[in-house]
Amino acid sequence: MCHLTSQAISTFLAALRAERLARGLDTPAMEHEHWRWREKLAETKSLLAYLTMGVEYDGKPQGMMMLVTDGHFSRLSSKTAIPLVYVEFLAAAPWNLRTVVDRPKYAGVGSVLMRAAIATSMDLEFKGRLALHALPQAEGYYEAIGMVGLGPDAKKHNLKYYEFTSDGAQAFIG
Amino acid sequence: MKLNITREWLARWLARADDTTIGAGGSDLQSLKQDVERRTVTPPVLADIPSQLGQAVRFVREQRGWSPEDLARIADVDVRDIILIETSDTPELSPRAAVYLADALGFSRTRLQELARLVQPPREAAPESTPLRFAAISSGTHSVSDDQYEAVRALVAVLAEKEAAD
Repeated sequence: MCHLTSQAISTFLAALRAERLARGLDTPAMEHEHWRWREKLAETKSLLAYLTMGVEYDGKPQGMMMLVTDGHFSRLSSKTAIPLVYVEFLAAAPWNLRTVVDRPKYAGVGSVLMRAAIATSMDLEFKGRLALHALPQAEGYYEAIGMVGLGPDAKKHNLKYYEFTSDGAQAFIG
Repeated sequence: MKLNITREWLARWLARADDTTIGAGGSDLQSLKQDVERRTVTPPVLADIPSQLGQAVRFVREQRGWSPEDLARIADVDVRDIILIETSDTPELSPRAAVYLADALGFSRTRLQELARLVQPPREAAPESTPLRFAAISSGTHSVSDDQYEAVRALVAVLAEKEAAD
């Protein structure tokens, strides 16, 4: 794991643009906001609650994410406020994504990021609890690893909301 | 953070869950900015400030991480004026101080002077036509409501819009 740099973001965005250009594709409107990582990094860099991490391999950034470590609570229980780590954004490099290229270069980047998010949650004594809003093409992945889906969230472009319970996270890292 | 990821673990999960479609996060930049702002200017700091002028000054002061002394030095006004603006029901602002403060805070001089005049009784409340009739004044609770917070933010935004006369 490494720090997320704006240089890594530039590399990602350039690769994404090149790939989309080659295929004559537009960024779906809903995903447009997802890609604005550079601005999001700049906005949050002085705040301790926002943590960013990257995966580097072969001298290149392969994936990255931003976590929010306070102010987010489980939606599975309405009785008490149970804190969790919220994944503000998570992305594998465009060349590692089946949705961008035909043959992704490396698999496993996303799994490593999820492990790191769970480890962060455990460090904070949140027992691995995690929440995120999935991009549509990733819903299957989060369901396959055992996250609990709570359906579309009108406040987040109707992206589906998922949570890892502590048991679920424990089973995942197994 | 301890990460101990084995090849076996990864292979086992990749067989069950293809992670080359992964992606999360659809917060737009605007809502992220609002969250960041509330962590920088927390709602409770605005709670005990009785005037709109005071709230607007305090908002930007917190945003920049300035103490009253910092702002006084940067704006070249007396620190007692800053304290008074943030604590008095009817803060008075000399024309000179208004101009200097406006420049330091990135406010329109005209609009800050207008607001300063409005808070001084016995003048009437802000006329309907002015954009400066925003912020609701909080009443001694230990925080401000979301609406009140947004009102102060909107007031600061209006003050930051320059006018032709500036």
